Amino acid sequence: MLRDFCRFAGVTRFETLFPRMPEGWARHFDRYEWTGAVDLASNHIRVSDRFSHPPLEAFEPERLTVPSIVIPYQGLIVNGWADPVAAAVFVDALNAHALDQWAGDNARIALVINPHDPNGSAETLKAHRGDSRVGAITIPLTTAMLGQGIWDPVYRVVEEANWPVIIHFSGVEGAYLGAPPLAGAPHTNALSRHILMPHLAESNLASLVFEGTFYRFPRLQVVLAGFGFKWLPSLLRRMDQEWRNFRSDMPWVKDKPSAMVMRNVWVTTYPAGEATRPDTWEGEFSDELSRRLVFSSNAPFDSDDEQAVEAALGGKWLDRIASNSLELSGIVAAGR
Amino acid sequence: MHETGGTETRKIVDCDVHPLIKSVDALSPYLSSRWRERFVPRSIGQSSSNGFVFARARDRYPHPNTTYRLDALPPNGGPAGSDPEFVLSDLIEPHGITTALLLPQEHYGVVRFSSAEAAAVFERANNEYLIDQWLAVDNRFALALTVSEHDPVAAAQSIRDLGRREGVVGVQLLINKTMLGSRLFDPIYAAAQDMGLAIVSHQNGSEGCYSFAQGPAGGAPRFYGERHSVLPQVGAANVVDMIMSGVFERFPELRVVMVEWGFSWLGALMSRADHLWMKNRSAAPHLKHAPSEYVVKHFKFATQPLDEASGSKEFEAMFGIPELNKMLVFSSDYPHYDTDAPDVILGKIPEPMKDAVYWQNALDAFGSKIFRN
Repeated sequence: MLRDFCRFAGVTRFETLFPRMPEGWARHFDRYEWTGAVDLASNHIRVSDRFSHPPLEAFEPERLTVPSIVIPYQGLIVNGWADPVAAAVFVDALNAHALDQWAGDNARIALVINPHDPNGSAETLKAHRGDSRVGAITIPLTTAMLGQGIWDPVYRVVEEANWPVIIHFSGVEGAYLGAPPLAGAPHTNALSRHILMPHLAESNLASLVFEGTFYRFPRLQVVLAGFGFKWLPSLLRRMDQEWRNFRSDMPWVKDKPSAMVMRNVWVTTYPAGEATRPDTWEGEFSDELSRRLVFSSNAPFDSDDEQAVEAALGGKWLDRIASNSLELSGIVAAGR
Repeated sequence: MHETGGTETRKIVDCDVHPLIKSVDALSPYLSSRWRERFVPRSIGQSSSNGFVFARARDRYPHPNTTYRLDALPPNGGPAGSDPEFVLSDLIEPHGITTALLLPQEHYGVVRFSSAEAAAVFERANNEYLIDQWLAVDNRFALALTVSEHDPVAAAQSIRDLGRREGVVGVQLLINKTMLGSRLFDPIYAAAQDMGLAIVSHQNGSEGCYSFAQGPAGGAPRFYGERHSVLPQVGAANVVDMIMSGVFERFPELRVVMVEWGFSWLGALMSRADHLWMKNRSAAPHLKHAPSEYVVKHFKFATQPLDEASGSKEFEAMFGIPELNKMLVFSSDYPHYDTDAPDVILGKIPEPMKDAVYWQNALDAFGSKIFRN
């Protein structure tokens, strides 16, 4: 059986969260432009604002058929917010709602942290240690790369709790001022942005490796979700070469970068449709590297199920992915 | 002029050789007195071991060693890559290279110029210097004229003025703040297409350094090696932008050669672009074909720095990118620190692709003028 490491859930009305906000904050958020933007925030890929999306169905955890990490995706978009204080209030309310309403037998929640305040987020996370409803955390990407020391308080709590860190773009990257840029200069074409999103995973992975994050937190497990996975071998070769060329310039990096990735990093299958014809790429995946690939559905948006993965990658890879998913689940479970 | 070298059976085109001027005084004959006064005595200096104008902010991402090979320093003095005779004896003759595409490096510093007029003057002087001082020396040299985005109309005129000189085969278009798909570049693309010159894109060092430059995704890398690991993203992003912006519908004969941006990421990029485009064609109304078809038809990618695969299986897969045999061209990046030795790299190219990578794809991109004999 597959396990889903990136399944989304969202509120259909932001007003749902008002009772969970500190006094006065409901009034702050209760403005029609913001409450009316719930559809905008639900287009998390943000391919284009001109496309309409059907209203989201309410998430019902009891309908999940596979164990899933559920990301309250609307929290991811605070990486494009200008107000870091409001962002903290929003993600706290959203996390509380998710734990109460969306956790279930097959659904464990990835708590969204407020990326504008890593220290404060770490303190908030501490309160959730031991909560079996929590299965992971997710960090909305900011321009503070994930290897930077400012994230250490978060990683310290996460490592202790054995929660994997799941990274997924919000969709505002390369679009909203203050959110992380995409490669190059601003892209006006929304499809270009979507195509180039894996670069965010590349850059942050390079940061995690070259900043020595996995020496400070050797049990930290990072899942790069929704970026596809075919980009990984090329990056690993490049990082290994840079490390070999400039080892004296980074004496704190004592292992080949790819070796760290094999221990601490995972990538996910969605969108599996970009990885058809394994005969053209699987030779780049050593046996060790192929053990880092786990399943993600991306549901309820454009999504993959088991059949879609098998159709794109074939039965051999499906079996491998199922096995990998069990291993990652086991690593997480072992710490509890 | 020397006779063309190369083997009888297989030509070799090296698509990335960097010439430098010996001293900034060398440009004096190509500058008016007003510009000579500006460039020569003041801002650039009179001596340098690796060039006079820099794009990379060296107090932000200092290179850990030297950017050039110490054994490429000419015995008669001057920076590495500044003596055409020494380049012939050090690179071209030992390796039997038929044509070395010159991608002048001093131009890269022009991206920092605030004055469009100064940029145009410097570029023109350097282009003319290379035509006179390098192309005239040996018919194994070919040149990509260099232009920047400062004044695309002036750049286009310069391309039309110099583009028919013997040995000029391409236009090195510097990447600065604007994505290459922008209509800003249309005058340059029109001139290049009219003159039968390929656009050449090479990283210039400014990437990730300035508020007016392009950079990798996410945020600022911490140091040189980290930045260099993710630098190919900038090339990939511009490939995507040119396609999605409809450049090749506006200029259907345009060819683009991407140098030192790597190539092993192409398989992932092309399949992702096609997959997402198939799901959402209306998001790219310019496109009449799948994105990968534009890549294969209009782009070439240079080999250096060739990824070091962990074994033969991975190496073969790296070269198994669909239709890579139509896109890959050889490059050494001489005389830089990470030069790919031609004999080593060419030996690694899978036999069925050798002719294509050695010279046929270069011929496809640049036309028959890439061979001057």
